[in-house]
Formats: sequence, C-alpha cells, structure tokens
Amino acid sequence: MLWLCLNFPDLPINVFSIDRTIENPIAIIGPSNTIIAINKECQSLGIKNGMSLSAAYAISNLIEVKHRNKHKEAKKLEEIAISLFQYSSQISISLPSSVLIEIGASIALFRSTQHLIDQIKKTIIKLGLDAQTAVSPTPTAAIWLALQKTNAEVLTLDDLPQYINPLSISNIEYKNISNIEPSDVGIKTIGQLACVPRSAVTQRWGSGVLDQLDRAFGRKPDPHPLFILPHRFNTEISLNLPASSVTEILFGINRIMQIMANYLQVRQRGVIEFELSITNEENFSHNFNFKLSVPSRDPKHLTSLAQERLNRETIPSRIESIQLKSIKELTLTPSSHSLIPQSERTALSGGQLIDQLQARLGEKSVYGVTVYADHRPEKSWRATIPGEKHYHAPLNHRPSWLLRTPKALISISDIPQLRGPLTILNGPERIETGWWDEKDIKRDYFLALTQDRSQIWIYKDVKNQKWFLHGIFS
Amino acid sequence: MKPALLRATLPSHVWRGREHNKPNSTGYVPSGFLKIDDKIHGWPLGTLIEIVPHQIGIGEFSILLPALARLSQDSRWILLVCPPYTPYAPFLSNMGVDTSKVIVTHAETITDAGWCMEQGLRSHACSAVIGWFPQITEKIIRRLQLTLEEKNILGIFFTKPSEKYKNNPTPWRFILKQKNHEMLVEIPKRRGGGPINPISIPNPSQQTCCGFV
Repeated sequence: MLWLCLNFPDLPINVFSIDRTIENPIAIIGPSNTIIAINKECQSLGIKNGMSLSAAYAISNLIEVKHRNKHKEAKKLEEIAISLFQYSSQISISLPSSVLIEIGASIALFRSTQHLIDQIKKTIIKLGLDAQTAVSPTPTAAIWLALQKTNAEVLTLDDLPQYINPLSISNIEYKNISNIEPSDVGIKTIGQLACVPRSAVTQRWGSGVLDQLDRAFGRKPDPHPLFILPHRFNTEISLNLPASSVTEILFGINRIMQIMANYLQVRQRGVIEFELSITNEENFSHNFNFKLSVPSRDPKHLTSLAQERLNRETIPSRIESIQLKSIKELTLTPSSHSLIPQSERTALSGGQLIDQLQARLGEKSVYGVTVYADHRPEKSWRATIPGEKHYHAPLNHRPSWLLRTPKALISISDIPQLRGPLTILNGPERIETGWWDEKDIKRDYFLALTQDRSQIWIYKDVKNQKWFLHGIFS
Repeated sequence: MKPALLRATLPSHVWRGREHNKPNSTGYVPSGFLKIDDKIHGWPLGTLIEIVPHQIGIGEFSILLPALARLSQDSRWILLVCPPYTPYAPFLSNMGVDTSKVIVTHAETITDAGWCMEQGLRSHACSAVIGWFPQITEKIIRRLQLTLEEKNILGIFFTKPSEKYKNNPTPWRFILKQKNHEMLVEIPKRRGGGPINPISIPNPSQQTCCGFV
C-alpha cells in the first residue's frame, strides 16, 4: 500500500471562488472572528492568517469577509475525490482539508510513481486548486507529512521514521490527563514523543496517542473509511460575483458540467435527464429540467444545451449559485476508436443534434414523422420522436404537404374554387372509415389543378357536400 | 509571366476560369432525373443550393425526393427546417424515403431557422439539410456556405422569387417553372460552369417510387 495525501490549505477560500481570473480580496473568518484563510489579493494588502477581523479592517476596508462554510468544504473534497477516481478506487476523505488516495496498485499502469503523482497533480491544477502532497506507506503518516508541507515521498516503511521523527506534534490528538502539556516536558517532535516509555505516554496523555503513533509507523493496521460515490450527482457551486446574464454564469455552468462529467466517467454512465437550478441573492431559485435523447457525459455538449435553453428563458438577476442534479443516468460505455470512422459516432452525434435543436427551439418544434396505419389522411401520419418507425402498407398517390386542418373552399355550382375554378385531374378516391372512434369520415378525394397550375389535393365531404383543401403536391 | 508559371504561383483559392468544367470535389447525389444528371451530374454536395420555385405546388419539393430517398439509406438524418406545411409521411414513404431519418423543425425567427440549418450542417449527423426561407439575409447565406464547404452534405434552401435575391452569394441557383405538364429547371448560376439551357423534366409530383429508386 502506498498512500498519497493531498492537503488543501486554501480550501476555505477555494469554496468561495471558482474563477481565479477575477478576484477581489476575500478573507474567511473562523468562530472567534479571526482570519483563517485569505486569497492572494488579501495577502498583497498585508493581511495575514491569524489576524483579528478588526485588525484586517484597519489595513483595508475593501476586503470581502465570509464566514467559514465547513459544509461546502466537505462537498468540495467530495468533488476532488470524484475526479481522482480515475487513478484509484481506494480514496478516503480526511476532514477538514485532505484527501487520501491509494496509489500503490496503480503504479504499474502509470509506469512510475513519479508519473502517477504528476498526473494527479495536473488533475488538481485543472480543478483550479493547489495541494500540498506527501506519499507514505501509511495513511496517517501521509496526512501528517502533507499537513506540515514537507512534500515528502516516502516509499518504504523503513524510511518512514527519518521523515516522521522531525515533524512537530501539532497534528497528534491527546488528552491532558495530568495537566502537563508535551511541550512542558520538552517534547516538540514526534521522534521525541516516540522515545518516551509507552506506559508514561498512556499515563499522561491517554492511550490514543500511542495508537496514532503505531498507526503512523505501520506497527498497527491503519484503516480509513473509504469514500463511496453518491448514487446521484448533486452539486452546487457559488459564483464569485453575483451574475445577471447567461454569459456571466456560463463559466460556472461549464465548471459544474465538468465535475458531473468526471462523476459520470467514473460510474461509466451518461446522463439522460438532469436539473439545473440557479439561485439568486434572495434565495429564489429557478429550475430547468433537461431531457436528452441519448445519454451523454460530454461537458461541452451539456454546457451548450444549457446555454441554448437559458438563452431562451428569462433568468433571475444577481445569481449567486448554480446547482446541478442528475435525475436519470444510463450506462454509457466509452466508444472505442475505430479504424473506419462514421456509423457509431454519427448515431451518437445525431442524438446530440436533436438535443441541441430542442434546447433552443423547444421540444415540440423538433420532431420526426412516420406513417401510421389508418386510411384517414389526417391520421395516417404522426409526429414522433425522430428516428421512430412504423411499418405499413403503401398507400395511393399522396401529396407532399398536408394541411393540419383542412381549409374550406368556396364552390360555385359545385365547382370548387381556389384562385379561380379548379380542374379535377384525378378522382374520386372514396375514404370512408373511422366509425370506431367517433371521428368517422366519408370523403371523396380528388387531385385538382389550379388556374396557375399548382397541383392540390381536395376533398368533398359526402355528408355535407362541402369542398375542402387538404394537401399540396409540392 | 508565362501562364504555367502564373498558375503555379497563384494561391489555391483563386478561381481559375479554365477549370470551370472540373467536377465538384465533394461529389454529387443523382437527382433521379436523367436529363438533370446528364447535364450537371446531379445535386452537388458540399455547396449551398438555392431553389426558387415560381409558385408553390408545382413539384418543387418532389424534385428532391429521389435524391432524398437515396440519402435516407445512409445512417444520417435528413433535416427539414421550417417547411411551409407538415411533410406528409405517407407521401415520403411512397417516394421511397425512410421517414425514420427525417427530422422536422420549426423556428419562429429567421435567425433561429438559420441557426438550425447551421447546426445540422456542422454536426456531421445529417446527409441533407433543407430549409425554407421566405426571406433570407446575405449574412445567413454566407455562414451556411462556409459551414457546408467541402462537406459530404446536400444543403438546399428554398426562397421566393424576388429581384432582391438575384445577387445573393449562393454558388448554385435553380429556378423551377411550370410549363404545361412539365417542369422547367433553369440553372442561372452554378459553380465552375457556364450557362446551360433550361432542362425540362416530367412533373416530379406525378411520379411514384417505382419510377426511379
């Protein structure tokens, strides 16, 4: 086993900013109004971690102050864990700010430890984060090494003591049974603590201390709860600045789609229905439901669908956060690359084309047509989901365009008129059917020619002897 | 400068008058009408075609159907953008078109319709994209032409006859007229070719599928 620990010291600030390019000074304050995290802009003003809020305000009153949000931090760690699943199936979240990943089993696949670690670091940078990393055969030691920013890469248990011993004991939890702090007796490093007789340690600071040391040095099993992928994707991100237009929130949508794509990739699934909610300052949210015709996990495609749809709708002003929920997911195995291009790929992008058109024009404005077995002209076709097919017997000569509702024609002494009297070319074709659903018809259809030589399809309703235009031979 | 040398130094996108008989690089789809295929090989692919029927209901859509029937055997879609009425499935089916390949879209504005056609042309998922534009702007035509260039797609739009559009930049223009029981196809403009006499063909809407598929 080889564990890589990624520690995110800037996590409290990262959860409040998704875009690194536009930033104003932000400071995060903890429970007693002391500053616990700041961004670069704040740092350049001279504000430091550990300052009190009033001291920071004395330096600059332009800083934006936010309370620490531990819930968001935990969510962010989950996001990170999801995107790391591509490297290993054993991932553990260690609150408040670290993610552990077992890399030992993946080294062969990535050829070398260094290459694997580099790949993981690249992924982290893509997420817009900075991490302190450390590698160690035991997870506890990896966490300590990462928390104390050592960047150590310890590959064997034998090398471990020389790296852990100099570490400060600040990460060890202890009970103060005898009212003596370890520092009171000159113990500052883990090495010094390990030298103290075991019974003395238990007496003074509880048995938990020895337990932690044994786990770190690999003398005891060191289990950490593994992170399990959630059943459905559900994530929210906050925007840096309140946004009021689609273009402004597009960055956020792109980011959240990317996270969902990572999730779906790990689950080998594609989303077929999802909901995007955007929430404004007054906590008023708008939900947009998306249904796709083929499952997808292509972030570009999903973003463009959301963009087209939002462009069509009115969205609230001053949007603060975006939430994305997957409602229905289907298994989507990655398509293999083929020497012969086309067929499979076009089928996929064909579905994407329909989704894109529907996102902009509305679901009802994009449809397929199919023949339906019924003799009544208006019922012998149906609008369907594109690609659907019914089989049928061929019919007689039919026009290329059908009017959805027949247009009544005036007739002069039983000669129908449309831009002048019509000449009958062919007919009648009697269509008399439909008694079973009370929409029965009894019509005589004719092929007719107008004075200006357009060919049309007309009928005479036998019941009331009126003439109607029903189709055009285009 | 010698002509041969001049030819060699000219950038490739400069049109050479002599090469006007060079066939379309992306090919043609047979129109199903012998007379048309004889003269211009069929409908050119990968270049925008404008069809101007002099009047609605003279078979202006039917003239495309043999080609569409052939294209519908492909795995790609046939996208119909803003047809004036609902395309009647039994008719398409009678003409040999596989209706499960047909997508119909309706857009409210001309911009949306143009966008629709562009998406269809861009996606590589369509074998034919056909639009109906009572009005069209030069900008849309240019965009469509650029998207379509060199792709294996049949791209057609229908417009109304009008003086205003005579100078628009479509590389191919067909004017359809009714003459007695025949249809007269005029090709006032085509890429890489001089004027040709109008072609007269039997009225396409009178045909049935057995005729040419």
